[in-house]
Order: sequence, then C-alpha cells, then structure tokens
Amino acid sequence: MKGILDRFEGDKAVILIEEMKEEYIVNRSALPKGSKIETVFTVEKNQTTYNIKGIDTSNTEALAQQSSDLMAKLRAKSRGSKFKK
Amino acid sequence: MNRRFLLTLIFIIFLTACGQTSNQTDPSSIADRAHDDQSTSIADNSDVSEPDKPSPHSDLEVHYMDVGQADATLFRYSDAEKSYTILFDTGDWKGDEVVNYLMAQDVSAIALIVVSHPDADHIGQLADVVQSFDVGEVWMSGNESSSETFRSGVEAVINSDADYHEPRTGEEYEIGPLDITVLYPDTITGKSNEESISLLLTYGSTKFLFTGDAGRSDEHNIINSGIDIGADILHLGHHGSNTSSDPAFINAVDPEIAIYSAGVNNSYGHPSEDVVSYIKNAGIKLYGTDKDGTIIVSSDGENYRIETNKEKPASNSDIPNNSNHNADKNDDGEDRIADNSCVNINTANAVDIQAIIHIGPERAAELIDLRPYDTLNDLTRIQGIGPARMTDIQDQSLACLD
Repeated sequence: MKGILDRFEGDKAVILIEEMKEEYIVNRSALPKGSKIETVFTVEKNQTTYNIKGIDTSNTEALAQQSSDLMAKLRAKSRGSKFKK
Repeated sequence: MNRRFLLTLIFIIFLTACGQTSNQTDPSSIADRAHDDQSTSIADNSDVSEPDKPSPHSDLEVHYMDVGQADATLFRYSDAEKSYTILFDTGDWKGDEVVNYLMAQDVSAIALIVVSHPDADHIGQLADVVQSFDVGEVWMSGNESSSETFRSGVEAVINSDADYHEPRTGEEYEIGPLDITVLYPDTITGKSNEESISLLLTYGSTKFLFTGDAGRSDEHNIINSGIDIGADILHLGHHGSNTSSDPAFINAVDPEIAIYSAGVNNSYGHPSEDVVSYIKNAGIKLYGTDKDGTIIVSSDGENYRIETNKEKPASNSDIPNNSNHNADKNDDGEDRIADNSCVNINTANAVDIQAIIHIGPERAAELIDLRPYDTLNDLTRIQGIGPARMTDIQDQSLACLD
C-alpha cells in the first residue's frame, strides 16, 4: 500500500496511509534517503505498525502530476474574487 | 485598534456534536475594560438567520474550533441585509467535526472558505464542507500536495459552484461589514507551510490575524510588507510551534489575546514552551483549544469578549492516531486508546509508543524489549535516551506507567 509524506513536524515525519485512514508518524531520520514532502512510499502493515519498504518513484511522479492537473482545472474556473474592494 | 476589552468566560461542556450544551458561568470576570457586561452563551445561536434573508444586526462571532491537532476557525456575522459565514482552514483529514459543528450552528451557506495551505491538518475536511454547504468562494495559496485528501478537496471545489482565487499580499476585500487584508504570500514557490495564506480581518475596530503555518522568516516578510499588522486577537502560527511566533512578529502585532489550535498530548510538543512563555511574559492572554476547547470571540465592532468550552475530563483526551487499534472516536475525531490519556510504556503497542517524543520505530522496538519498567526514568536504558531527552519526555506528559 501507499504512504505519502504529508509534512514534517519538528523531528517527526507525518505519513498518510490514506487507504487505511491512518497516519504513521516516524522520526525524520528513519526515512529513506531522498525523501521529501510529497514523496510516496511503498509501505506494509506489520501488526500494529507500518514498515516503509522504499520510495515509490512512479507514484510520486504520477500523483504529483494528478494534483497539478487538477489545480490547472481549478485555476481555469477562477474569475478572481467578487469580494475585492 | 480596539483597546477596550471585556472578557467573560463561560465554561460549556458539549454534550453532543449536535449542539446540545449546558452552561456554567464562571463568576470571575478576568478583565473588564468596557461598558458592556453582557455575555452570550455559545448555545444561543438560534437567532442567526439564513443567508440571503434580511436579518437584524448581530455581533461577529469567531469560533476557534476544537478540531484536535489541526486548524479550523468559523466567522459568523450579519448586517441589515444578510448573514455571512467564513471558514478559515478545514480541520484534519481523519476527522469529521467541521461539518458537524457548522450544522450545529445552523450554517447552510458559506461565503468564503480559506485554506491556508495544503497540509492534511488544514485542508483535511474541505471536500466534506464543500459538498455539505453552498459555498460562494474558495481561496488557496496555490501550492499543491500529492495527497488524495488534497485532490478530493480540489475536485469538490471544481464540481461546486464556488469561485476560486489565490490571494496575494496587499489585496483588500470586503465581505459585508468585515474587511480582509491579505498579508501573505506575495508569490508561491512550492513551500507549503511557509507560504500559508495570512490574513488580517477587521470588524469595526476589532482585528483578527491568522498566519496558518507560516514560519519566522515569513513573519519577517509580513512585517516588512509595510502593512499595519496590529491586531487584537492573534492566532499563533503553526499550532504554537517555535517555528513561528518570532518575538519581533508578536511585538509588531501587539495583540491582547493569543490563541493556538492544538490537540491534547499531541505528538509534536505543540505549543512550544518557549512561545507560551514569551506570550505570557509579554502580558498577552493565552488560550488554546487543547486546554480550553472551542474558543469563541464575539465583537460588536467596539468591544469584544471571549467564551471557552472547557474540555471534558481526561477520558476525552486526544491521543495521536497512528495505529489500527479498535478505538472509539472522541469529539476531536481522533482515535483514542480505550479511554487512556497517556501511553503506558509497559503495555502500549509499537505504534502508539512512537507518539512519545524522541521515540521512533527503532527505539520503540528497544523499549518493548526492555520491559518491564518501574519508573519513567528507566527509559534512559534505551540507547539514545539521555537526561535531556528524558526531560523532554517528562515535559510532554504523554508517557506513563500502570
């Protein structure tokens, strides 16, 4: 399954396991080399915890592209704010 | 800036998420520097009219909602013609409190939703909110996230009738009697936290400031923008973390009240002790959703007052959720471990143990191997846990024994 590095909180990394609706919080130092915000990991459930198997490069790129495409679609409907002074 | 300030605390225990409340008024008024000594109960919102209908003028209410380790703030006010609702941030992705709270407040339409930045503890319930209410406009910074939470939020906005805008420093807006000045960002470069939308909201002479998770260097950029950022009520950046709330920024804002949003016993040590000390030493009154529950600031445009919902007893504590235990949901929408408000170092599983500061997967495994423990201080037997880290663990007040 996939885990996404959503953010850092001090020395902790917050990984969203969205298909399980759970968060896996690990020390930043425990992440694979090259991890950064928005990195997608392959993770596996191990009884009560998760193991990070590695960085899922293709999903890291694919999901970022999906998000960018959606943002482009959202911006296309932007007409500025009607509340502007 | 408004400097006449009335403060009355009303302690309210939420009975349900559907708005049943019971009030207990604290007779001690902490401060009284205004003429108006009326205080309204949080439960008394039945006179808020539907949007688009003429309504009598009513005070602004700003609800700093208790959504655990996340942010969500609700603005409600009206003028002679209509009522207005604004939402700043949308709670955590694992929760569902925001829609429930808005429903309990009889919200049906939201003029504006501002998502400060795309982290899952700020954009978390955007999709649910947009699908549940008639939303006029959504503002985002423009930075992106790869999470499904982000994409479902964006898709919900695309599929709604809401307009979309990315506000930038210096822009000014007017939503009925509320003025909004955009303080940040000036541009975006992909730095999610740092480039949080930061706003100064003005109602009469009462000013509110929000900075999302913007950091100290961003606070300096805001200072250097030349905009007058003086405000009465400051929402502390990044849940009260010391990555934000630079003393120079606090001094520039010069608030009377500071409010942070954080979960009880959260994994990250929010709010920072340094920030709390600085705020208190500066003579600024400090409130937090972890200690005070939902905090409501009401203003008639001249005077303002504060009401809090005191937390239920410790059984309602917010234990960080990163495990698959069969937990109930508490009012924060967070899982909690069978009514425990702490992590028992002799019995907790490897995931829950990692909520303790300085304990990652390796130390969690070692902690379990070294059981049992007679005292908390025995945790120093774990490699890498010395006196300094032990002090942090004790200060966090999350680890406990039988």
